[in-house]
Amino acid sequence: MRVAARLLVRLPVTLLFVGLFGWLLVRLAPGFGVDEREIDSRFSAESIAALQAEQGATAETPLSYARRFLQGDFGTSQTFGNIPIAQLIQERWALTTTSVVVALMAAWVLSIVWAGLGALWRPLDWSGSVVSFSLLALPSGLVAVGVFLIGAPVALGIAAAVFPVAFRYTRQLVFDAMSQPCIFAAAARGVSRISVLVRHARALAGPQLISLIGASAAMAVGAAIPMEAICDSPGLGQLAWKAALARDLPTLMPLILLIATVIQVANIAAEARA
Amino acid sequence: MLQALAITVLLLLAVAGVFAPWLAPYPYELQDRESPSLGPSAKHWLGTDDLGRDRWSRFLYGTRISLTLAPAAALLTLTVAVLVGVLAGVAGGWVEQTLLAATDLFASMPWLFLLLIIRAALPLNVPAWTSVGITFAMLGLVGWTAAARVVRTAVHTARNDGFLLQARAMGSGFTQIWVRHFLPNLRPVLLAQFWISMPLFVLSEANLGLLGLGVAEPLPSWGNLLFELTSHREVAEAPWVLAPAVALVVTLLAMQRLSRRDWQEGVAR
Repeated sequence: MRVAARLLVRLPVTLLFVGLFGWLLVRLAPGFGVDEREIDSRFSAESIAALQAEQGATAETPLSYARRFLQGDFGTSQTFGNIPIAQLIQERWALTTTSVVVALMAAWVLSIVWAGLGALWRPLDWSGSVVSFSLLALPSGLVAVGVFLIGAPVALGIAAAVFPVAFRYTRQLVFDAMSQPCIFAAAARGVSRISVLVRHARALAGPQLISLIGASAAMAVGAAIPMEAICDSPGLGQLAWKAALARDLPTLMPLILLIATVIQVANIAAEARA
Repeated sequence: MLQALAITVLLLLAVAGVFAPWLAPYPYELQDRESPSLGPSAKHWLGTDDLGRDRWSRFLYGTRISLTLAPAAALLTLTVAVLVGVLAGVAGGWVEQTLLAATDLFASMPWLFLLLIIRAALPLNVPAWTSVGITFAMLGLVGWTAAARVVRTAVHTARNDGFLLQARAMGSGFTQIWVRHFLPNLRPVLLAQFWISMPLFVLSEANLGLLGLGVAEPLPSWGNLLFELTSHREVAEAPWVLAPAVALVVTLLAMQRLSRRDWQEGVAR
Protein backbone atom coordinates (compact mmCIF):
# COMPACT_ATOMS: atom_id res chain seq x y z
CA MET A 1 0.00 0.00 0.00
CA ARG A 2 2.79 2.37 1.00
CA VAL A 3 4.70 1.42 -2.16
CA ALA A 4 1.70 2.28 -4.29
CA ALA A 5 1.33 5.62 -2.48
CA ARG A 6 5.00 6.43 -3.02
CA LEU A 7 4.76 5.50 -6.68
CA LEU A 8 1.68 7.66 -7.05
CA VAL A 9 3.45 10.69 -5.59
CA ARG A 10 7.03 10.33 -6.79
CA LEU A 11 6.49 9.12 -10.32
CA PRO A 12 4.26 11.99 -11.51
CA VAL A 13 6.53 14.53 -9.80
CA THR A 14 9.59 13.03 -11.49
CA LEU A 15 7.93 12.90 -14.88
CA LEU A 16 6.59 16.43 -14.47
CA PHE A 17 10.00 17.77 -13.49
CA VAL A 18 11.98 15.92 -16.16
CA GLY A 19 9.30 16.49 -18.79
CA LEU A 20 8.96 20.23 -18.18
CA PHE A 21 12.72 20.64 -17.97
CA GLY A 22 13.24 18.82 -21.27
CA TRP A 23 10.30 20.53 -22.98
CA LEU A 24 11.65 23.95 -21.96
CA LEU A 25 15.09 23.09 -23.30
CA VAL A 26 13.61 21.87 -26.57
CA ARG A 27 11.68 25.15 -26.91
CA LEU A 28 14.70 27.29 -26.02
CA ALA A 29 17.15 25.34 -28.19
CA PRO A 30 18.50 27.33 -31.12
CA GLY A 31 16.72 26.52 -34.35
CA PHE A 32 13.52 25.33 -32.67
CA GLY A 33 10.50 25.81 -34.94
CA VAL A 34 12.60 27.02 -37.84
CA ASP A 35 11.64 25.51 -41.17
CA GLU A 36 14.37 25.66 -43.79
CA ARG A 37 11.71 26.38 -46.42
CA GLU A 38 11.45 29.84 -44.82
CA ILE A 39 14.77 30.81 -46.41
CA ASP A 40 13.93 29.31 -49.80
CA SER A 41 13.76 32.26 -52.19
CA ARG A 42 11.15 30.51 -54.32
CA PHE A 43 8.59 30.87 -51.54
CA SER A 44 6.56 34.08 -51.55
CA ALA A 45 6.03 36.19 -48.44
CA GLU A 46 2.47 34.83 -48.18
CA SER A 47 3.68 31.21 -48.34
CA ILE A 48 6.28 31.86 -45.64
CA ALA A 49 3.64 33.53 -43.48
CA ALA A 50 1.39 30.50 -44.01
CA LEU A 51 4.26 28.16 -43.03
CA GLN A 52 4.90 30.15 -39.86
CA ALA A 53 1.20 30.14 -39.01
CA GLU A 54 1.12 26.36 -39.56
CA GLN A 55 4.08 25.88 -37.20
CA GLY A 56 2.41 28.09 -34.60
CA ALA A 57 -0.72 25.96 -34.83
CA THR A 58 1.15 22.67 -34.46
CA ALA A 59 3.54 23.86 -31.71
CA GLU A 60 3.18 21.47 -28.81
CA THR A 61 2.24 22.43 -25.30
CA PRO A 62 3.59 20.38 -22.37
CA LEU A 63 0.09 18.92 -22.02
CA SER A 64 -0.18 17.76 -25.61
CA TYR A 65 3.33 16.33 -25.42
CA ALA A 66 2.44 14.45 -22.22
CA ARG A 67 -0.70 13.06 -23.84
CA ARG A 68 1.27 11.89 -26.86
CA PHE A 69 3.95 10.40 -24.56
CA LEU A 70 1.40 8.47 -22.52
CA GLN A 71 -0.07 7.04 -25.74
CA GLY A 72 3.39 5.72 -26.66
CA ASP A 73 3.75 8.12 -29.59
CA PHE A 74 7.24 9.61 -29.19
CA GLY A 75 7.46 10.99 -32.73
CA THR A 76 10.16 10.23 -35.26
CA SER A 77 13.90 10.82 -35.14
CA GLN A 78 15.31 12.83 -38.04
CA THR A 79 18.88 11.99 -37.02
CA PHE A 80 18.28 8.27 -37.28
CA GLY A 81 16.56 8.38 -40.67
CA ASN A 82 12.97 9.26 -39.74
CA ILE A 83 12.56 6.06 -37.72
CA PRO A 84 9.89 6.16 -34.98
CA ILE A 85 11.64 6.89 -31.67
CA ALA A 86 9.58 4.17 -29.96
CA GLN A 87 11.06 1.64 -32.40
CA LEU A 88 14.60 2.92 -31.75
CA ILE A 89 14.09 2.54 -28.02
CA GLN A 90 12.48 -0.88 -28.36
CA GLU A 91 15.39 -2.18 -30.44
CA ARG A 92 17.98 -1.07 -27.89
CA TRP A 93 16.15 -1.49 -24.62
CA ALA A 94 17.01 -5.16 -24.03
CA LEU A 95 20.74 -4.73 -24.55
CA THR A 96 21.10 -1.89 -22.04
CA THR A 97 18.78 -3.50 -19.50
CA THR A 98 20.76 -6.74 -19.65
CA SER A 99 24.09 -4.93 -19.28
CA VAL A 100 22.86 -2.82 -16.38
CA VAL A 101 21.21 -5.70 -14.51
CA VAL A 102 24.21 -8.02 -14.97
CA ALA A 103 26.58 -5.22 -13.92
CA LEU A 104 24.54 -4.37 -10.82
CA MET A 105 24.38 -8.02 -9.80
CA ALA A 106 28.09 -8.56 -10.38
CA ALA A 107 29.12 -5.37 -8.55
CA TRP A 108 26.90 -6.00 -5.53
CA VAL A 109 27.62 -9.72 -5.19
CA LEU A 110 31.35 -9.02 -5.38
CA SER A 111 31.03 -6.14 -2.89
CA ILE A 112 29.02 -8.16 -0.40
CA VAL A 113 31.33 -11.17 -0.58
CA TRP A 114 34.51 -9.06 -0.49
CA ALA A 115 33.33 -6.78 2.32
CA GLY A 116 31.97 -9.72 4.31
CA LEU A 117 35.17 -11.72 4.04
CA GLY A 118 37.12 -8.51 4.67
CA ALA A 119 35.40 -8.23 8.05
CA LEU A 120 36.89 -11.65 8.90
CA TRP A 121 40.31 -11.25 7.33
CA ARG A 122 42.06 -7.86 7.33
CA PRO A 123 44.22 -8.27 4.20
CA LEU A 124 41.06 -8.79 2.12
CA ASP A 125 39.53 -5.65 3.58
CA TRP A 126 42.67 -3.71 2.80
CA SER A 127 42.86 -5.02 -0.78
CA GLY A 128 39.18 -4.22 -1.36
CA SER A 129 39.74 -0.67 -0.16
CA VAL A 130 42.74 -0.26 -2.47
CA VAL A 131 40.80 -1.57 -5.49
CA SER A 132 37.76 0.62 -4.82
CA PHE A 133 40.00 3.63 -4.09
CA SER A 134 41.78 3.13 -7.42
CA LEU A 135 38.59 2.55 -9.43
CA LEU A 136 37.11 5.74 -8.00
CA ALA A 137 39.95 7.68 -9.60
CA LEU A 138 39.05 6.40 -13.07
CA PRO A 139 36.41 8.18 -15.13
CA SER A 140 33.85 5.76 -16.58
CA GLY A 141 34.94 6.85 -20.06
CA LEU A 142 38.50 5.78 -19.38
CA VAL A 143 37.29 2.45 -18.01
CA ALA A 144 35.29 2.10 -21.23
CA VAL A 145 38.44 2.58 -23.31
CA GLY A 146 40.11 -0.19 -21.30
CA VAL A 147 37.07 -2.45 -21.63
CA PHE A 148 37.08 -1.93 -25.40
CA LEU A 149 40.80 -2.57 -25.71
CA ILE A 150 40.61 -5.89 -23.87
CA GLY A 151 37.38 -6.84 -25.65
CA ALA A 152 35.44 -7.31 -22.41
CA PRO A 153 31.62 -6.97 -22.23
CA VAL A 154 30.06 -3.57 -21.51
CA ALA A 155 28.57 -4.98 -18.29
CA LEU A 156 32.08 -5.36 -16.88
CA GLY A 157 32.75 -1.65 -17.38
CA ILE A 158 29.45 -0.67 -15.74
CA ALA A 159 30.21 -3.04 -12.87
CA ALA A 160 33.63 -1.38 -12.47
CA ALA A 161 31.85 1.98 -12.14
CA VAL A 162 29.38 0.70 -9.53
CA PHE A 163 31.73 -1.55 -7.54
CA PRO A 164 33.77 1.10 -5.66
CA VAL A 165 30.66 2.81 -4.32
CA ALA A 166 28.92 -0.50 -3.60
CA PHE A 167 31.98 -1.86 -1.80
CA ARG A 168 32.42 1.20 0.38
CA TYR A 169 28.78 1.29 1.47
CA THR A 170 28.71 -2.48 2.05
CA ARG A 171 31.96 -2.39 4.00
CA GLN A 172 30.61 0.38 6.22
CA LEU A 173 27.36 -1.48 6.84
CA VAL A 174 29.13 -4.77 7.60
CA PHE A 175 31.55 -3.07 10.00
CA ASP A 176 28.69 -1.21 11.71
CA ALA A 177 26.74 -4.45 12.03
CA MET A 178 29.76 -6.35 13.34
CA SER A 179 30.22 -3.80 16.14
CA GLN A 180 26.68 -4.21 17.50
CA PRO A 181 26.32 -5.63 21.06
CA CYS A 182 24.27 -8.60 19.81
CA ILE A 183 27.17 -9.65 17.60
CA PHE A 184 29.56 -9.51 20.56
CA ALA A 185 27.05 -11.51 22.58
CA ALA A 186 26.83 -14.17 19.85
CA ALA A 187 30.62 -14.33 19.60
CA ALA A 188 30.89 -14.59 23.39
CA ARG A 189 28.53 -17.59 23.31
CA GLY A 190 30.96 -19.34 21.02
CA VAL A 191 29.19 -18.83 17.69
CA SER A 192 31.79 -19.01 14.91
CA ARG A 193 32.79 -15.78 13.14
CA ILE A 194 31.46 -16.95 9.79
CA SER A 195 28.16 -17.91 11.38
CA VAL A 196 27.98 -14.52 13.11
CA LEU A 197 28.55 -12.83 9.78
CA VAL A 198 26.10 -14.91 7.77
CA ARG A 199 23.31 -15.24 10.31
CA HIS A 200 23.45 -12.07 12.40
CA ALA A 201 25.34 -9.32 10.54
CA ARG A 202 23.43 -10.11 7.34
CA ALA A 203 20.12 -9.56 9.13
CA LEU A 204 21.33 -6.20 10.45
CA ALA A 205 22.85 -4.86 7.24
CA GLY A 206 20.52 -6.53 4.72
CA PRO A 207 17.61 -4.07 4.60
CA GLN A 208 19.87 -1.04 4.12
CA LEU A 209 21.82 -2.89 1.45
CA ILE A 210 18.68 -3.54 -0.56
CA SER A 211 17.74 0.14 -0.62
CA LEU A 212 21.31 1.01 -1.66
CA ILE A 213 21.13 -1.46 -4.54
CA GLY A 214 18.04 0.38 -5.80
CA ALA A 215 19.80 3.72 -5.43
CA SER A 216 22.78 2.48 -7.43
CA ALA A 217 20.56 1.82 -10.47
CA ALA A 218 20.84 5.47 -11.50
CA MET A 219 24.61 5.24 -11.31
CA ALA A 220 24.70 2.10 -13.45
CA VAL A 221 22.41 3.64 -16.07
CA GLY A 222 24.60 6.75 -16.12
CA ALA A 223 27.73 4.64 -16.59
CA ALA A 224 26.07 2.88 -19.53
CA ILE A 225 26.38 6.05 -21.64
CA PRO A 226 30.18 6.25 -21.87
CA MET A 227 30.50 2.46 -21.94
CA GLU A 228 28.12 1.97 -24.86
CA ALA A 229 29.32 5.10 -26.67
CA ILE A 230 32.99 4.18 -26.54
CA CYS A 231 32.58 0.40 -26.90
CA ASP A 232 30.19 0.88 -29.84
CA SER A 233 27.47 -1.15 -28.16
CA PRO A 234 24.07 -0.29 -29.73
CA GLY A 235 22.10 0.31 -26.54
CA LEU A 236 20.17 3.21 -25.08
CA GLY A 237 23.33 4.89 -23.79
CA GLN A 238 24.78 5.01 -27.27
CA LEU A 239 21.44 6.25 -28.62
CA ALA A 240 21.42 9.09 -26.08
CA TRP A 241 25.01 9.99 -26.87
CA LYS A 242 24.46 10.03 -30.64
CA ALA A 243 21.27 12.04 -30.19
CA ALA A 244 23.11 14.54 -27.96
CA LEU A 245 25.94 14.94 -30.48
CA ALA A 246 23.40 15.48 -33.25
CA ARG A 247 21.39 17.83 -30.99
CA ASP A 248 18.38 15.61 -31.54
CA LEU A 249 16.34 16.72 -28.54
CA PRO A 250 13.07 15.04 -29.62
CA THR A 251 14.87 11.67 -29.39
CA LEU A 252 16.53 12.47 -26.07
CA MET A 253 13.31 13.55 -24.36
CA PRO A 254 11.32 10.26 -24.34
CA LEU A 255 14.51 8.37 -23.61
CA ILE A 256 15.14 10.38 -20.48
CA LEU A 257 11.52 10.24 -19.37
CA LEU A 258 11.55 6.45 -19.69
CA ILE A 259 14.84 6.08 -17.84
CA ALA A 260 13.72 8.43 -15.06
CA THR A 261 10.56 6.32 -14.69
CA VAL A 262 12.47 3.03 -14.51
CA ILE A 263 14.95 4.42 -11.97
CA GLN A 264 12.18 5.76 -9.73
CA VAL A 265 10.33 2.44 -9.86
CA ALA A 266 13.57 0.58 -9.02
CA ASN A 267 14.23 2.94 -6.09
CA ILE A 268 10.74 2.62 -4.69
CA ALA A 269 10.76 -1.17 -5.11
CA ALA A 270 14.10 -1.38 -3.29
CA GLU A 271 12.84 0.87 -0.48
CA ALA A 272 9.76 -1.31 -0.14
CA ARG A 273 11.85 -4.48 0.05
CA ALA A 274 14.08 -2.81 2.64
CA MET B 1 53.72 10.72 4.23
CA LEU B 2 50.96 9.98 1.69
CA GLN B 3 49.17 13.12 2.78
CA ALA B 4 52.29 15.20 2.08
CA LEU B 5 52.74 13.48 -1.28
CA ALA B 6 49.13 14.26 -2.21
CA ILE B 7 49.55 17.92 -1.29
CA THR B 8 52.81 18.12 -3.26
CA VAL B 9 51.22 16.58 -6.37
CA LEU B 10 48.28 18.98 -6.22
CA LEU B 11 50.55 21.96 -5.64
CA LEU B 12 52.75 21.00 -8.60
CA LEU B 13 49.75 20.66 -10.87
CA ALA B 14 48.29 23.92 -9.60
CA VAL B 15 51.59 25.69 -10.30
CA ALA B 16 51.72 24.10 -13.78
CA GLY B 17 48.20 25.33 -14.45
CA VAL B 18 48.66 28.84 -13.10
CA PHE B 19 51.93 29.37 -14.97
CA ALA B 20 50.78 27.60 -18.14
CA PRO B 21 51.23 30.70 -20.37
CA TRP B 22 54.89 30.88 -19.31
CA LEU B 23 55.60 27.15 -19.13
CA ALA B 24 53.91 26.16 -22.39
CA PRO B 25 56.26 26.32 -25.36
CA TYR B 26 53.42 27.06 -27.81
CA PRO B 27 49.95 28.62 -27.67
CA TYR B 28 47.38 25.88 -27.07
CA GLU B 29 45.52 26.60 -30.31
CA LEU B 30 48.55 26.95 -32.60
CA GLN B 31 48.26 24.46 -35.45
CA ASP B 32 51.28 23.26 -37.36
CA ARG B 33 49.77 21.64 -40.43
CA GLU B 34 53.20 20.40 -41.49
CA SER B 35 53.62 18.19 -38.42
CA PRO B 36 50.39 16.48 -37.35
CA SER B 37 50.35 13.37 -35.11
CA LEU B 38 54.04 13.48 -34.24
CA GLY B 39 55.61 11.40 -31.49
CA PRO B 40 57.47 12.90 -28.53
CA SER B 41 60.59 14.91 -29.43
CA ALA B 42 62.71 17.70 -27.97
CA LYS B 43 60.48 20.18 -29.80
CA HIS B 44 57.18 18.59 -28.75
CA TRP B 45 57.58 16.72 -25.46
CA LEU B 46 54.27 14.85 -25.79
CA GLY B 47 54.12 15.02 -29.57
CA THR B 48 51.38 16.74 -31.55
CA ASP B 49 47.72 15.95 -32.12
CA ASP B 50 46.11 15.37 -35.52
CA LEU B 51 45.86 19.13 -36.07
CA GLY B 52 49.55 19.62 -35.32
CA ARG B 53 48.94 21.24 -31.92
CA ASP B 54 51.55 20.72 -29.22
CA ARG B 55 50.16 18.21 -26.70
CA TRP B 56 52.34 19.38 -23.79
CA SER B 57 51.13 22.99 -24.17
CA ARG B 58 47.53 21.84 -24.41
CA PHE B 59 48.02 19.65 -21.34
CA LEU B 60 49.31 22.62 -19.31
CA TYR B 61 46.43 24.87 -20.36
CA GLY B 62 43.99 21.99 -19.82
CA THR B 63 45.30 21.59 -16.27
CA ARG B 64 44.59 25.24 -15.71
CA ILE B 65 40.97 24.94 -16.86
CA SER B 66 40.15 21.66 -15.14
CA LEU B 67 41.79 22.53 -11.83
CA THR B 68 40.44 26.08 -11.68
CA LEU B 69 36.88 25.31 -12.54
CA ALA B 70 36.42 22.20 -10.40
CA PRO B 71 36.74 24.29 -7.19
CA ALA B 72 34.37 26.86 -8.70
CA ALA B 73 31.79 24.12 -9.35
CA ALA B 74 32.37 22.79 -5.81
CA LEU B 75 31.68 26.26 -4.41
CA LEU B 76 28.48 26.50 -6.41
CA THR B 77 27.40 23.09 -5.14
CA LEU B 78 28.16 24.11 -1.57
CA THR B 79 26.17 27.32 -1.93
CA VAL B 80 23.08 25.40 -3.07
CA ALA B 81 23.67 22.72 -0.42
CA VAL B 82 23.95 25.31 2.36
CA LEU B 83 20.78 27.07 1.23
CA VAL B 84 18.78 23.83 1.08
CA GLY B 85 20.39 22.17 4.11
CA VAL B 86 20.15 25.17 6.41
CA LEU B 87 16.60 25.94 5.37
CA ALA B 88 15.55 22.32 5.95
CA GLY B 89 17.40 22.06 9.26
CA VAL B 90 16.15 25.34 10.64
CA ALA B 91 12.57 25.30 9.39
CA GLY B 92 11.85 21.67 10.29
CA GLY B 93 8.33 20.26 9.89
CA TRP B 94 6.75 20.09 6.45
CA VAL B 95 9.34 22.43 4.91
CA GLU B 96 12.09 20.01 5.93
CA GLN B 97 10.11 16.98 4.73
CA THR B 98 9.41 18.62 1.37
CA LEU B 99 13.02 19.67 0.89
CA LEU B 100 14.26 16.21 1.84
CA ALA B 101 11.84 14.56 -0.56
CA ALA B 102 12.95 16.96 -3.31
CA THR B 103 16.59 16.20 -2.50
CA ASP B 104 15.95 12.44 -2.71
CA LEU B 105 14.13 12.89 -5.98
CA PHE B 106 16.93 15.03 -7.37
CA ALA B 107 19.53 12.49 -6.25
CA SER B 108 17.80 9.64 -8.05
CA MET B 109 17.67 11.41 -11.43
CA PRO B 110 19.66 10.07 -14.36
CA TRP B 111 21.82 13.19 -14.35
CA LEU B 112 24.21 12.24 -17.09
CA PHE B 113 21.23 11.91 -19.42
CA LEU B 114 19.90 15.31 -18.36
CA LEU B 115 23.36 16.84 -18.79
CA LEU B 116 23.36 15.46 -22.32
CA ILE B 117 20.06 17.26 -22.96
CA ILE B 118 21.44 20.56 -21.66
CA ARG B 119 24.59 20.21 -23.71
CA ALA B 120 22.56 19.26 -26.79
CA ALA B 121 20.39 22.33 -26.36
CA LEU B 122 23.38 24.66 -26.70
CA PRO B 123 24.06 26.17 -30.12
CA LEU B 124 26.82 24.62 -32.20
CA ASN B 125 28.75 27.88 -32.31
CA VAL B 126 28.77 28.43 -28.55
CA PRO B 127 31.98 30.34 -27.65
CA ALA B 128 34.61 28.09 -26.05
CA TRP B 129 34.77 30.04 -22.78
CA THR B 130 30.98 30.03 -22.51
CA SER B 131 31.05 26.24 -22.87
CA VAL B 132 33.55 26.06 -20.00
CA GLY B 133 31.26 28.15 -17.78
CA ILE B 134 28.17 26.18 -18.76
CA THR B 135 29.83 22.78 -18.30
CA PHE B 136 30.99 23.53 -14.78
CA ALA B 137 27.86 25.48 -13.81
CA MET B 138 25.65 22.56 -14.75
CA LEU B 139 27.91 20.15 -12.90
CA GLY B 140 27.81 22.42 -9.87
CA LEU B 141 24.04 22.67 -9.97
CA VAL B 142 23.40 18.91 -10.05
CA GLY B 143 25.89 17.77 -7.40
CA TRP B 144 24.44 19.39 -4.28
CA THR B 145 22.14 16.66 -2.95
CA ALA B 146 24.53 14.65 -0.78
CA ALA B 147 26.12 17.82 0.62
CA ALA B 148 22.67 19.28 1.42
CA ARG B 149 21.81 16.19 3.48
CA VAL B 150 25.10 16.46 5.41
CA VAL B 151 24.57 20.19 6.04
CA ARG B 152 21.02 19.57 7.23
CA THR B 153 22.27 16.92 9.69
CA ALA B 154 25.00 19.29 10.89
CA VAL B 155 22.39 22.04 11.39
CA HIS B 156 20.25 19.64 13.40
CA THR B 157 23.19 18.72 15.60
CA ALA B 158 24.31 22.31 16.08
CA ARG B 159 20.76 23.53 16.75
CA ASN B 160 20.54 21.34 19.82
CA ASP B 161 23.98 22.27 21.10
CA GLY B 162 24.39 24.25 24.31
CA PHE B 163 26.27 27.15 22.77
CA LEU B 164 23.22 28.31 20.81
CA LEU B 165 21.02 28.18 23.89
CA GLN B 166 23.66 30.12 25.77
CA ALA B 167 23.89 32.73 23.01
CA ARG B 168 20.12 33.07 23.02
CA ALA B 169 20.08 33.38 26.80
CA MET B 170 22.66 36.15 26.57
CA GLY B 171 20.30 38.09 24.33
CA SER B 172 21.98 37.57 20.97
CA GLY B 173 19.74 38.41 18.04
CA PHE B 174 18.82 36.06 15.19
CA THR B 175 21.45 37.43 12.78
CA GLN B 176 24.18 37.44 15.40
CA ILE B 177 23.45 33.86 16.38
CA TRP B 178 23.52 32.71 12.78
CA VAL B 179 26.46 34.71 11.48
CA ARG B 180 28.73 34.63 14.53
CA HIS B 181 27.93 31.32 16.15
CA PHE B 182 26.15 28.99 13.79
CA LEU B 183 27.82 29.35 10.40
CA PRO B 184 31.40 29.17 11.78
CA ASN B 185 30.41 25.83 13.32
CA LEU B 186 29.47 24.52 9.88
CA ARG B 187 32.91 25.36 8.50
CA PRO B 188 34.53 21.92 9.05
CA VAL B 189 31.54 20.18 7.44
CA LEU B 190 31.61 22.55 4.47
CA LEU B 191 35.35 22.16 4.06
CA ALA B 192 35.03 18.36 4.03
CA GLN B 193 32.20 18.58 1.48
CA PHE B 194 34.30 20.89 -0.68
CA TRP B 195 37.14 18.38 -0.81
CA ILE B 196 34.73 15.55 -1.50
CA SER B 197 32.99 17.29 -4.39
CA MET B 198 36.11 18.56 -6.15
CA PRO B 199 37.27 15.16 -7.51
CA LEU B 200 33.71 14.43 -8.56
CA PHE B 201 33.68 17.49 -10.78
CA VAL B 202 37.07 16.72 -12.27
CA LEU B 203 35.72 13.20 -13.01
CA SER B 204 32.45 14.46 -14.44
CA GLU B 205 34.19 16.93 -16.71
CA ALA B 206 36.49 14.15 -17.90
CA ASN B 207 33.48 11.94 -18.69
CA LEU B 208 31.67 14.68 -20.59
CA GLY B 209 34.91 15.51 -22.43
CA LEU B 210 35.45 11.86 -23.35
CA LEU B 211 32.00 11.89 -24.91
CA GLY B 212 32.82 15.07 -26.84
CA LEU B 213 30.25 17.03 -24.83
CA GLY B 214 32.43 18.97 -22.41
CA VAL B 215 34.55 22.07 -22.91
CA ALA B 216 34.39 23.17 -26.56
CA GLU B 217 37.42 23.25 -28.86
CA PRO B 218 39.88 24.84 -29.28
CA LEU B 219 40.10 25.31 -25.48
CA PRO B 220 41.82 22.32 -23.89
CA SER B 221 40.64 20.62 -20.73
CA TRP B 222 41.59 17.22 -19.35
CA GLY B 223 38.22 15.95 -20.56
CA ASN B 224 38.57 16.95 -24.18
CA LEU B 225 42.24 15.94 -24.22
CA LEU B 226 41.05 12.45 -23.25
CA PHE B 227 38.69 12.49 -26.23
CA GLU B 228 41.70 11.45 -28.31
CA LEU B 229 41.63 8.12 -26.49
CA THR B 230 38.32 7.24 -28.10
CA SER B 231 40.25 6.78 -31.31
CA HIS B 232 41.48 3.39 -30.10
CA ARG B 233 44.27 3.12 -32.64
CA GLU B 234 46.00 6.04 -30.90
CA VAL B 235 46.32 4.30 -27.52
CA ALA B 236 48.18 1.28 -28.86
CA GLU B 237 50.38 3.19 -31.28
CA ALA B 238 50.93 6.33 -29.26
CA PRO B 239 50.82 5.60 -25.53
CA TRP B 240 51.91 9.19 -24.75
CA VAL B 241 48.31 10.29 -25.45
CA LEU B 242 47.65 8.72 -22.04
CA ALA B 243 49.52 11.59 -20.30
CA PRO B 244 46.33 13.55 -19.42
CA ALA B 245 44.73 10.30 -18.19
CA VAL B 246 47.71 9.64 -15.90
CA ALA B 247 47.58 13.23 -14.60
CA LEU B 248 43.85 12.90 -14.02
CA VAL B 249 44.16 9.65 -12.10
CA VAL B 250 47.07 10.96 -9.99
CA THR B 251 45.12 14.14 -9.21
CA LEU B 252 42.02 12.23 -8.24
CA LEU B 253 44.00 9.86 -6.03
CA ALA B 254 45.61 12.86 -4.35
CA MET B 255 42.27 14.59 -3.85
CA GLN B 256 40.72 11.38 -2.50
CA ARG B 257 43.63 11.02 -0.14
CA LEU B 258 42.84 14.48 1.24
CA SER B 259 39.15 13.66 1.67
CA ARG B 260 39.36 9.94 2.34
CA ARG B 261 36.94 9.79 5.24
CA ASP B 262 33.80 10.45 3.28
CA TRP B 263 32.53 9.10 0.03
CA GLN B 264 29.71 10.54 -2.03
CA GLU B 265 30.27 9.44 -5.59
CA GLY B 266 26.76 8.99 -7.05
CA VAL B 267 26.52 12.02 -9.39
CA ALA B 268 29.89 11.80 -11.17
CA ARG B 269 29.68 8.19 -12.13
